[in-house]
Amino acid sequence: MSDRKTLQVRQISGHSGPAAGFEMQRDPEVCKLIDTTICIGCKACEVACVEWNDMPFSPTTFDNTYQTMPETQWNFWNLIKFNEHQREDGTIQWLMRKDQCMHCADPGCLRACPADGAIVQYTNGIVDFQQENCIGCEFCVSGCPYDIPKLNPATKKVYKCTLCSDRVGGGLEPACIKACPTGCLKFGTKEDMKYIAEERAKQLRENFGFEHAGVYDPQSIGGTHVVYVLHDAENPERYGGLPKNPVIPWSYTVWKWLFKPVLGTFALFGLVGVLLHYVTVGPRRPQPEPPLQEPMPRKES
Amino acid sequence: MDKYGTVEQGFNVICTTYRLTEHYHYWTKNNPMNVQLVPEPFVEVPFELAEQMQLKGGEKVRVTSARSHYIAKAMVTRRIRPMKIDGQEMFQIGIPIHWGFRGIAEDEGKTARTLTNQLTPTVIDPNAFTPEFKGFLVKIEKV
Repeated sequence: MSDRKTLQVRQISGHSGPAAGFEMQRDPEVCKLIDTTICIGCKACEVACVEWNDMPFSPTTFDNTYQTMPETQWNFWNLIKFNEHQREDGTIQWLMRKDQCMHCADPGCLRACPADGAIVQYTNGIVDFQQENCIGCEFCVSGCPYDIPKLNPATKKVYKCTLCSDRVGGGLEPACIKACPTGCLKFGTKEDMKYIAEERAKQLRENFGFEHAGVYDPQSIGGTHVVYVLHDAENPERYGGLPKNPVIPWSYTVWKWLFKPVLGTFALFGLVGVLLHYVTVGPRRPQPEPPLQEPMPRKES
Repeated sequence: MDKYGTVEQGFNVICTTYRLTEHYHYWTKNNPMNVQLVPEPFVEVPFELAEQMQLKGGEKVRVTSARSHYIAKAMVTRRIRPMKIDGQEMFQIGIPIHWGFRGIAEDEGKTARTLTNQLTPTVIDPNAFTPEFKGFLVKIEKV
């Protein structure tokens, strides 16, 4: 895909100032396209994810669907969600959606993260966790509109899908894309994937009778680097709770854009006050010991 | 001749068997990845039949044919619809094969202990010797 062999950093969590070397090189935004209309639910992507990332075997629980587990886990980043939707005429639509990190353009996890360098966003759009800097506070878990980051209680670190940044940085496609047997998963630049997705949605609308078919690329978080083609883009909630207008909790916005600068200003005022005190009053010097007013009372024997 | 159940004997549910996309026959029950994908053996039960039986998804059911029986958790689904056969409403259930005596899930205790193919009749196509395991009559009850 790319001839470069490194990833350029765009944003760093809890980090003052811009990332070094930003916009020094051109770097196209990457994107994963998931066409839910041709997913067969074979779970090959789940296996590819577990194998490539070398994650341990995890015991799973039955929850009355074909799903492997109810939701993604710290060591299971890629999960196909199976949902049965009953149409008004009584027929059934069996919806399968590959659930993983959406790699938002405006990532809630990164905005929420207070640890310097625990979450980075690369210029190509990948949002990656750096576990060696993670402090295990789980703010990213509540900041994510898709409920994706998961804490490993044993190591107190948070993990999620990396969009195989280790493969993409080396010019390969992510492991799940390599494994997909139906061509439901595609990988390329955001522009190309959006074009293919829009064409496919148009085909579904015009030739297959899915009137509301469309592309899921929510603009409320600036778009995502994982886009879906849905049979019914007006009701993404049917696909296992995909939010129609995902939002980052307002508290994090307030924290990042209001409290942090304002409190920083107050801290600056404090420093200025200290300086003024130093200039006007001067430093505190050692005072001579005051002479005793009266001699010490004698001890009576 | 093998034994067959009839509706008169109480075998009033149609049963079919199949594999899941993530499995390869019974082989993959020794592969941790494939075992991890599907947590437990299950029996797919249509929603309407489950309502009649007051059955909830995740409860165990016993499926009995004229040959043997099979116990696994029920998965209640709307994908299998009741059929009208000879004016009578009939239900169909489905059992995925993959679980047997030994394997990763079996050794952990997540198993039906019996094979799905103990239920199926030994019927083969006389020319091609292809087994006919896809349609037979069973009864189903809560355990």
